[in-house]
Amino acid sequence: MEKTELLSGTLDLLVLRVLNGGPLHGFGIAERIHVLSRDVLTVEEGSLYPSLYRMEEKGWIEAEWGQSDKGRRAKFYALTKGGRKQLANERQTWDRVALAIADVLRNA
Amino acid sequence: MKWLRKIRFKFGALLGKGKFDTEMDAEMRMHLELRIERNIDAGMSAEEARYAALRDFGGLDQLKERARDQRGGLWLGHLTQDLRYGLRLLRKSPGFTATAMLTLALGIGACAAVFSVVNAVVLHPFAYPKVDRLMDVHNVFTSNGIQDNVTPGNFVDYRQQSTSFADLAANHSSGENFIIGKEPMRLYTEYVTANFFSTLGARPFLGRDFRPDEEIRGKGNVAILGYNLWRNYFVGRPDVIGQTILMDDKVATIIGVMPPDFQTFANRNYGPALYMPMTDWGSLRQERSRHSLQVIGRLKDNVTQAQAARELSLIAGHLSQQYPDTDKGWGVSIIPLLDDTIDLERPLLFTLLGAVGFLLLIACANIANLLLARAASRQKEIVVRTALGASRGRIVRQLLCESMLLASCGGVLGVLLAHWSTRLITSILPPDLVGSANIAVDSQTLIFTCVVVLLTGIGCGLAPALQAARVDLNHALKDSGRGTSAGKHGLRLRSVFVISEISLALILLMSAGLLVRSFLAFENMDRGYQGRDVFGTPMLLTQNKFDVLQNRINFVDQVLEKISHLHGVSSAVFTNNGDPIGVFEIAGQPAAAPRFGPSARYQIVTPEYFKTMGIPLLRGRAFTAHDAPATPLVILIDQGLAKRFFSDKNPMGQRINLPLTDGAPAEWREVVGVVGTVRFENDNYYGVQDRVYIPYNQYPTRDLFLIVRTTPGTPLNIRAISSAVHSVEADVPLTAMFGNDPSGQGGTPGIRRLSMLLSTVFSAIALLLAAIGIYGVMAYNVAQRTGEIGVRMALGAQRSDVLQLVMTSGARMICLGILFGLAGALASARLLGTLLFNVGAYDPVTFGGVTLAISFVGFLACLLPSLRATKVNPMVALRAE
Repeated sequence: MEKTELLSGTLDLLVLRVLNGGPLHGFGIAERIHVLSRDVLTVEEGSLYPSLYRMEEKGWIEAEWGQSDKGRRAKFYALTKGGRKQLANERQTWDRVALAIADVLRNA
Repeated sequence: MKWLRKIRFKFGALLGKGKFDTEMDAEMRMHLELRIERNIDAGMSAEEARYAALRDFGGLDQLKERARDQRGGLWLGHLTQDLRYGLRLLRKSPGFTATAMLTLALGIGACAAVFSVVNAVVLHPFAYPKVDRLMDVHNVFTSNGIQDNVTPGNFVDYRQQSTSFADLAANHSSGENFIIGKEPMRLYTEYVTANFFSTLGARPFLGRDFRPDEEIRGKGNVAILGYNLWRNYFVGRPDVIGQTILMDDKVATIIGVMPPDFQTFANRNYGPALYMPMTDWGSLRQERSRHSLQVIGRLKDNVTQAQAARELSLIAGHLSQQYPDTDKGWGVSIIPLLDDTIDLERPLLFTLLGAVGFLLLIACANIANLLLARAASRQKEIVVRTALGASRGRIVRQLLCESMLLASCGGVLGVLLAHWSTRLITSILPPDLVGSANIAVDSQTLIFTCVVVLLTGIGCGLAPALQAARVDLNHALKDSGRGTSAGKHGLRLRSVFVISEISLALILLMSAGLLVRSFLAFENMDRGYQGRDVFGTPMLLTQNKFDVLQNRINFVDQVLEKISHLHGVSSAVFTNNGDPIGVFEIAGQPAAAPRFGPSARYQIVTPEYFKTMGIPLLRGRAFTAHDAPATPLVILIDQGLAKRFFSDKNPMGQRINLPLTDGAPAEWREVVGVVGTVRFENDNYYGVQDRVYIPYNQYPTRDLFLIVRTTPGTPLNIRAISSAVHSVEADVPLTAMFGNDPSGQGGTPGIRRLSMLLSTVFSAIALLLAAIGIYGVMAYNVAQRTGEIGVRMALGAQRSDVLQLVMTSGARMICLGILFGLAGALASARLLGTLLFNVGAYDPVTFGGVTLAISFVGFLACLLPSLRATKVNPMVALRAE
């Protein structure tokens, strides 16, 4: 399986976007990104958890212990109001940058 | 409530660190399990699935550490963790901890103590606000540049005409007899203008300041007490205000008390006990010949010293035209108060500050060496920590934290040390040294010490920490058995530390050596008199019966008769109090304008004065009891004056006219003898002046100074002396006796002695530290090379070869250290320049002696480890390999 490295700074955006669909635990987040990217993107645990703790500290997400679908105790992360705002911001920025990059690639 | 959550989060990170960690553990475990399940779903065996999951996951502990780092407020957690760990480590090796703490305490304590002295004496000698605007005003005799006090007449004119000063104030001191309670006592009284305190910017802390109208005669019977008098004789009672004290001819009301930190520049000898307003302006302002007033002015904010000097000179010019008899030839000069009071003390004290700085550097180098050695033995621990995910910065931080801990403990001890030693220092310093009363470990000293502790912690910890954190994981783990891979580089660093220690110690020793030799030269200088075992005290005869001159003569005779028969007293004499200067005229030599002739200090003495003081009689005769009021007037001159004015003739039989009171008719005195020149300690300050001597019986002054020489080794019995005096005249008050210098002065020698003592102590400590440093490195070196030495010996090397091998490496360090040190010492000796007395800056004796001393000590420090190296048993050493 080919691994594609995430662009730096995009992990937060992806995590926020994935959590926008509802609370998930760490493994679930990694899985969801993997699946949604059609197996192109793999999120390393070594990046995922630092990112989660960082965002938790910034107040964009909050964590709560709960039951996973298989009945295990797991820590679920959910978007806060600030997180939603942050997601909108980052998404806008991303769109702008992506468009700009696309333009450059097309027209150069 | 975002902030609330944030705070809770941070505190959670700090306080609930354990909880955070278990939660993180659980989270990771569950993540891993889910991953294994997925791998099994994908068709792997359980074993395989687990292995793959673990591999993908990466280093679990490193991940956790990185995850932890994302939590804010964690630095505080790290700090407490580091501190706890550091404390535990320090407790675990008490020997190391004690050595390091004591070394640092010595260094930091010395710094703090000297700083407190410099701070009090040089930086803040007076507690006056804006002290740099305060100027001393002097009259200057323009032809020879000699400064004198200001005449009252001139002072009044300056005060009226000058616009440069916000305020001009004057003072003069005099001894007065008081009766306080029932006790007669003689107190030094400062007569001041009413604006004296306000000019300085000081205020009584009890009661009120003088009012301007109290300068008027009849209204000035008020007094402000000095703090010490208030505390000692009025036991600090606040109701002292309004009480009266009895003086000889009047009653004065106490209106205020000055605060304890108020110190005047006036009268360095005694320090005034109380202050009274000057009142006699009616007659004083006519007085233009007696230079009696100390004048101090506060410059206006927008006026420079030069502008004020120009303006005063202009006024002085007018005055000398207006009053040619008295003011011709006199100019005026102003000097900042600070420069006027401390000119030798300043460089000496700064030198001391430099010396303690060096001492601290040496102490730091020693601690750095100890830490390096420890780091080498702790390498395993550091490797393991790094493998567990500690970043390099984290390791450096932790090691620095340990050295900061050491420095802080050393600092606390050092402050205690400084507190104790400032008392010692204060007792060595002359009590009249301006600012010395304020020497204490105060808040400024504490702040200074904190900065020093911070710098020390970083200074001695940084290099070892960086060195220790530089580990190559693979290499270090593979090299596991010995843990010496960083040894090579560490050893070089340690050698550098030791070499700089030796250089610093050499510079310090050299400076101390020069200062000691200056001090000895100063002490052993032939002063022309024997000051040892000589004590003195002032005495003033104010009683009405002493209006009769013969009664004074009788009093003096009887007192001397009684005292010289006391046990332990070898002789006793009277001279006049103070050290006045008179202008004289020599018969047959062209007369200068009145008052502008040659001048000399004059002393009025009883016959035994020269024998008591040990001043040699060079020609003619000393005074005898036969020199009486009715016999021909006589005078003795000293050798300096004889040379200056009678170089080619025999001075004997020459006649000199020295008017002792203003306007007195000419009194020609015949020179009957020549005595040796004396240099009182004070003379080094102002330059030696010629002296003449007049027999007491021919000028029986009221203002006396009793001098007693004790038989060597017997302590002075003050009680016996004062009862002898009081048996003759009950009401004559006595102040304390002071020793060894009858001029009663001497700020300079005290400072010289202090700087000599301290720099000697500092350099002894420095030498010791350097020796310990050399020893430490050599011993470590030998321990490291045990294997190598064993091999060499197994291959046939003799003990002497081994000794040579080890000693050579030590000798190289010492030689390099001495080389650098000599270069530094040559440079710093030049800085000492003005502090040296009769010793060249490049004094070969000092340089040679110090170099030898350092070499010798270094040699000894090398010898012990080297000898141990020769005792290496090859079999044992090789087996240990």
